[in-house]
Amino acid sequence: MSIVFRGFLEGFENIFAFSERRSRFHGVDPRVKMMYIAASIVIAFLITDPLKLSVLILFNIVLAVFSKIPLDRFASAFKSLAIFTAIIYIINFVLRIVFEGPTIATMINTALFIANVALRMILVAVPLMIFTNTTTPREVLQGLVSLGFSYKYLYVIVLGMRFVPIVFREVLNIYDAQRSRGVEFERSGVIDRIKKLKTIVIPAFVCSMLRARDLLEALELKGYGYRNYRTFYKSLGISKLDLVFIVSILALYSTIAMV
Amino acid sequence: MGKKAVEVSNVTYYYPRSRLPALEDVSINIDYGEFVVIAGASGGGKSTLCRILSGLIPHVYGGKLKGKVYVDGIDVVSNGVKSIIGKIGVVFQVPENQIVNLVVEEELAFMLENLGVEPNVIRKRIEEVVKSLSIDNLIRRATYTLSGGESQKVVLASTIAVKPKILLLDEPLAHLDPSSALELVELLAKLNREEDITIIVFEHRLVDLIKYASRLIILERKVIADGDPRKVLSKIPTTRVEVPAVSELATKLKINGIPLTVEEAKQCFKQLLSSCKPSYKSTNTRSSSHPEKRREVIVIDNLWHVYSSGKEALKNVNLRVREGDFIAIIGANGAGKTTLIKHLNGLLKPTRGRVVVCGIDTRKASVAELSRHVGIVFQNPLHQFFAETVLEEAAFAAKIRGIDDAYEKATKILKVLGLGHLLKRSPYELSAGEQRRLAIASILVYEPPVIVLDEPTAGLDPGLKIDLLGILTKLVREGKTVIITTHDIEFLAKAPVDRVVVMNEGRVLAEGSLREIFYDTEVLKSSRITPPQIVQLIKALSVENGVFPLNVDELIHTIKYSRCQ
Repeated sequence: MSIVFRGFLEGFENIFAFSERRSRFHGVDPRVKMMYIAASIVIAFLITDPLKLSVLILFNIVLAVFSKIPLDRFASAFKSLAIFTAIIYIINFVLRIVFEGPTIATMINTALFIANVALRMILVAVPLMIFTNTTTPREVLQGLVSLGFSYKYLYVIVLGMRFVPIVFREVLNIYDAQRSRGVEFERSGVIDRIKKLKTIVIPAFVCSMLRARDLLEALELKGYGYRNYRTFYKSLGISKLDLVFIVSILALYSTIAMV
Repeated sequence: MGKKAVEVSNVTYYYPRSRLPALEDVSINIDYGEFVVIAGASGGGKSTLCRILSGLIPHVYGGKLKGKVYVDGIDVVSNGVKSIIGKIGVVFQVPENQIVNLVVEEELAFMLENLGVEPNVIRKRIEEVVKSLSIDNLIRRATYTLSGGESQKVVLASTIAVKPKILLLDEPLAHLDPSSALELVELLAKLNREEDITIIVFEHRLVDLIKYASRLIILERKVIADGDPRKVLSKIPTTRVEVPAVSELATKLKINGIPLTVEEAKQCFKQLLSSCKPSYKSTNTRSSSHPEKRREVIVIDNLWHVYSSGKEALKNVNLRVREGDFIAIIGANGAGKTTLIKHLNGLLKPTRGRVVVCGIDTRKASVAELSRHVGIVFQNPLHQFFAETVLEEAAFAAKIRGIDDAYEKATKILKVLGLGHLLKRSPYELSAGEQRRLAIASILVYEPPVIVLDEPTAGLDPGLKIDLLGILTKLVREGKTVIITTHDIEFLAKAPVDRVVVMNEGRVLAEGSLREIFYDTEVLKSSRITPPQIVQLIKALSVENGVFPLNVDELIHTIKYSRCQ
């Protein structure tokens, strides 16, 4: 159980972590990459044909390879998705058995339905991985500021992206520290398990509060909010190559949707 | 009279709801271009003064402040943080909490962007700071992949990109390993020398810092001493600040002109030590008679551990630990020390090989089961505290094991560890040293035969380290097996350790007594470990012929009994 829990957290950390390997995708304008994500979400909703979904996933995987996402990140992200899908399958299966009875057809239908859902999730997850691995949250923020949003409120997203992996790691350390004292999370009933959860939740909360205090001081001293406007040391600009990229994506998605 | 970098006049400060002042009638003047170290024991007001100078106290913290504080001519008490942004740079203790962005380059630009500096100027400043601190290898890195030392360099770089006249650093070395600490100190000296930045460091680890300091101030709610580092060091007890061992030696031998480095000490002690006739007998090593009669509590055979990322953290580790052993595991960051101890209670399972603890193969037992035999105290005590009172916290591990007299046992142990008067307090209200002792108490309460401590001295001042050494020594005398991992070589040089295990890149590079390891130049060099100063001194003077002291007291003992003139 603990290995599953650890793997699950590490997998999601990998989906959202920025990769420092440089690729052509790192330089694409963040607004163009946002359009790419939006297009992928829309197409995942529109298409139900497994063949079409598979073709699109394959295409995006090729893009992911070009964007130099480390292979191990891919593997652990897919592992987490697989666990997630398995949980959805079990819930669906149980519900269908309750309502439709335990037949082989139920099993097969559930499996087909879940496979379809999984394909759609992958179709969103791969572009999302490309996006988060090649775009820093600050670039996203700069993109949004250029669209008229205020940086003061948006920086919370950057802070979230920066500190979520740190807090994840901290929770794992707390989990290990409590298990080392003999707290058994695995072998207990639901109520007992909820009670034991406080041995993780309280230290995690306290550590996060202390971290938040440090961060607040650091932000004050770094002049955050000192002025209502800020400059950005890099300027944004949609290049011709960016345009070719997004037009090709839109063309491919619409063609496959209409075929 | 010209403007000063810092002028603190008769400052007394009370935190909100506190009756005791954190600072009492403190007056300090610092000129531009000085390199000042402000030292003192934990709780002596170092962080408080740093936060007053940076404008955070009383503006963010509240509380009651009397007196005047001017930084670069600005009244910070009246005007707060905003008035000095860009004029002073501040670096705090935990580097990871001060980095806001995901890429180093973005972090370097962040403060300048907030201040509305033009993009072309920012790019130029980034170039300058990268060159000045030689961090071109870090510029494209993701900030979450940086080591502690690298993070602290990035924080420093982002601070000096604004070209501050004054740099304040609050215990910047607390979370760094020795080599990263030395690198950071050298950078500070360079900034002071070449860019004329006034440096004010609040720190009790003086070993690397002191040779660059133009002035040393000891703060313990009040200014205890202030002046030339050599003069101040000769006056203060070593339990208050971490004095270089060679300086401590000179003080104890009442030698004039205290040396601050091993190099200086060579001149000082050359004549004295060269005249010694070797007849020295160790006072440090315990006599571990008949080791073969004691049972093996930990057996590690051909242990390999490969993380899911593919990183080989342990490579063919073999180790035997007998009942009653006191063992230290040393090695640079990333050598595999923490990975190894996580195998001792099954938090990590071997990828290959086996670990047997008190006769139980860790692959076949749960962590809860193994934790009965091996209690691990991790580096950060806050990772385990959740109970409302110190007593509840200490009794917890015994309670969940169904031990009847858990509270009685916990009370007894807390009293032994000097926490008897704090039973009803919240664990979060304790000082760093008290929290560390509570973490140890909460493991001792269920009496595991093996106790493992991960970096137990991190963040502790010298007085608290002496207390800790006393606790560990007592445990070993009572027959417990104690294993520690540590970077703190000077602490280790005073500990009655039976055996040192040196790790490097996942392998056990060497095993032996403290004396064997610390006098083995080859082993230390390949594992990137600097030996204790006394060992460096003896080796530098080539007088180790039969004389192998590890710490100041042993060397004084040598001098006394070896008829040195």
